[in-house]
Amino acid sequence: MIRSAYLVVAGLFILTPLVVVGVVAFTSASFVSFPTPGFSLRWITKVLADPAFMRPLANSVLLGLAAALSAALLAVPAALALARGGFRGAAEIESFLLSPLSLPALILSIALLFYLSRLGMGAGFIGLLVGHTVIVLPYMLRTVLAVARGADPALEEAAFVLGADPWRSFLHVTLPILRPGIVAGALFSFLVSFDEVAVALLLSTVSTMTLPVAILNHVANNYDPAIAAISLIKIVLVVAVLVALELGFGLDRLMLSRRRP
Amino acid sequence: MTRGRLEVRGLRKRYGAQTVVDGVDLDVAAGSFVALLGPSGCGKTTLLRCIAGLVAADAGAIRIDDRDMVGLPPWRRSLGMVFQSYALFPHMSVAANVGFGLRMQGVSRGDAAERIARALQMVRMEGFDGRRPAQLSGGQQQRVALARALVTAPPVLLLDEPLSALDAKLRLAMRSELRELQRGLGITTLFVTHDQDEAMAVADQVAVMDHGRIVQIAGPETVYRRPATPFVAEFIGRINRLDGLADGLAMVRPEHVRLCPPGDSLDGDMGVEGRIVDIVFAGDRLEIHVEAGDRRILCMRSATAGPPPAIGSAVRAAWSRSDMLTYRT
Amino acid sequence: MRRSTVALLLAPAILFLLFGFVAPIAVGLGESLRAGLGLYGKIFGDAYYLEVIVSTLALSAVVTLLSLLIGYPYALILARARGWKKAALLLLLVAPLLVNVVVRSFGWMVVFGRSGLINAVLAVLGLPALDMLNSWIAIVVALVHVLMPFMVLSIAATLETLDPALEEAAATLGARPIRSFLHVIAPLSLHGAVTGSILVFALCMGSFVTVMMMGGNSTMVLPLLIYQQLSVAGDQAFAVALGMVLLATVLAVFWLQGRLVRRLRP
Repeated sequence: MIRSAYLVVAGLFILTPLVVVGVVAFTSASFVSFPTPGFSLRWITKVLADPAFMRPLANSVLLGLAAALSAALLAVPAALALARGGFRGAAEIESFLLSPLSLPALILSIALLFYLSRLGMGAGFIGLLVGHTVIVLPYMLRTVLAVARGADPALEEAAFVLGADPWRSFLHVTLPILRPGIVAGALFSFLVSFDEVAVALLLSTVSTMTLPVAILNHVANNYDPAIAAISLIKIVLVVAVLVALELGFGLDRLMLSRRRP
Repeated sequence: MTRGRLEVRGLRKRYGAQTVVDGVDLDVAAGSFVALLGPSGCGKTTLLRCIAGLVAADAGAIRIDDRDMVGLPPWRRSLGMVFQSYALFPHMSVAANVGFGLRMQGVSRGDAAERIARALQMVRMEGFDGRRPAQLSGGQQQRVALARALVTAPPVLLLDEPLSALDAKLRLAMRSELRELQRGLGITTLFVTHDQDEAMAVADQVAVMDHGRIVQIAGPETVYRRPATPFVAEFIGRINRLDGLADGLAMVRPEHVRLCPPGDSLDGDMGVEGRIVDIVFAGDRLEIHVEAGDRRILCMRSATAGPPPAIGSAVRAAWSRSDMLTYRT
Repeated sequence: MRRSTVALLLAPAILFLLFGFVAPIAVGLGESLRAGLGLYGKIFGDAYYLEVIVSTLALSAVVTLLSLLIGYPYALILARARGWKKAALLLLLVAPLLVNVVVRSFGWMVVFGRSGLINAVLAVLGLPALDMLNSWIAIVVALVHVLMPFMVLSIAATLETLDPALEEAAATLGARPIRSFLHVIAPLSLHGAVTGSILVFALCMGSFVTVMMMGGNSTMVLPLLIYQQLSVAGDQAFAVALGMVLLATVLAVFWLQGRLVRRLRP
């Protein structure tokens, strides 16, 4: 059937670069080639012991967690206001908060670099965190907002009548109900930050370099299978997080919600 | 329980240009069951929510046992409320749901556990402590919602169309359970519904609302037999409009209309000549539709009171003047 | 909810975006205009820069079209699938999305490179090796690979909302599957296809990592030019000006989407 043939071709197209990277990671040669002359773990062990890769990996993880946390602190109250506030202009504010989604990150990146150097700050962790939080905020807002909108508003009212003031109602009723959205948003935000290149490229310093930037430098300077090895490690990490997302929240609920322009 | 007297004076609520509650006065005696009845948009739910504190009224007073409620947020009013969707907390067990109000009041674990058990027993939901709301049927959720509202022994119980999500048979069963429960506890209850059969079946007093005002508040029989306004007459039960047959507006209930042969003397009763155009068999009664000129008169009588007349036969629809309801226009 | 509560809840997010997003761009715009329109005159007056802008637009258009052609069938299959098959298709589509663009481009480098996959296959077939890395083909393939999922998700989302009864109705009215598709499904999914196309086009306009890795220095697009001006030439002001031009183009594309979508609203 045409459909199966198409799916096979599409599947091959989608998976080829990833499979290739996976294979090259285990090459025994000292240069990048496909197919590989032999198999060995030398590149993987080399990379795992190399601070030039491990430091950026740690930075990326840290940055991802920090960006996800910042986005959560900003997005959860905003989502509550948008879902329950019942005020005019809610749609416009929502579009505004989601707008970083539409912008090429490169533009934000240069603008931030310029802006921060004007403020006397320049590149560094703060700049990275701000840039990544801006990029990641719409993702967090979308998932939390979806959950907030789906929840029965009478739940909070019931809590009020039962004697809970707004803070206790938030703590005991609202927050637990929002939790799946927050967790999913956080995982998503982490992944987006983990992968981000444009902002990281311009705003990284030697000590705050993120993993994608480290890989990019390596590609430019020494084109060897170490790139494949670290890439494989990164892929394994991402797949693990993806599996957690699917088991915890359900990928199709996340992915197939209508995008706003 | 002698507490739970509710007084509402001159309550007003506007949303933009629309006045949803238009100067409502309401006195509910302690322990009585009052139904707020009316078509959608009449303001009954808004009135209830004002009393609960979920909506801030623009003007007027609300007093429970002489305690002024206006200005108090809902979490300080200590009332009990059951929502149309039940609003059971999905992430908590049945026991935790029922005990939530007690927890907010700082009641100790041990005392709370005892009171929760008694509340669940009262609504016949013992043994369901550990279940989650998602595992319960509609009727079961409704009972848990009731237990949750009652466990803190509030002076007033507010019910916002609590039976509307249930299917017909269950509704009837829950109606009587609710009534029994209320009588047993003697708790002042305010019950919002758009279903007049329901209101008449459960309440001591029915308050009929129209466009933000209470147009009549009285026992079910009074509201039915002596409706204060044409609106109430037409909203409750079925009625025949008798335009042009008397001074002002005249109406008569279908069960007061009898059919007799066209030539019969009326003995001071009123009547119109016409033909039977339709007969509807409704189980325990017959609904006979008579066309009299450009009028349609509905006559209702028991299905067992003799053989049904023939469709198309000429008849006279008659009723006594004392059964007629008249209103000055 | 009281107005004051709403304001309090929204303030952190809005203020953050104002200071971290809007302000930098506004400052950048202001800076680029400091010497009057001189910088912009330099951009639009020089044939080289104009050529770069045009190549970027052309590349984006080609990638968008290919993504649409290749991605539409996938979206159809995905929208119709159920259960584990749907999850599997989704995972297949989305997993590469969440693998870094650098890694994916590297993968394509290995595929297209001199000692890579394609040349290995050609060698087996007895054909001469090709030097494809610095070609437009390699860049287009890599970009389509990176951006196609966005197209698919956009179209699938629209298709999902379509009532399956529509196709059944068409069938009872005598339409064969192909006609049913052409006359019923395709027009209704146009909304998703347009949204997806605009999204892919905008993302492509801003993409430079893939071009940089696949094309070396022989191919130039606007985002890459910006990056070069910044890192190599060190000319921040000029880079910002170029960035504003890029921004203006992307905004123009979104404005176009707004107009198109409004006309397409059923």
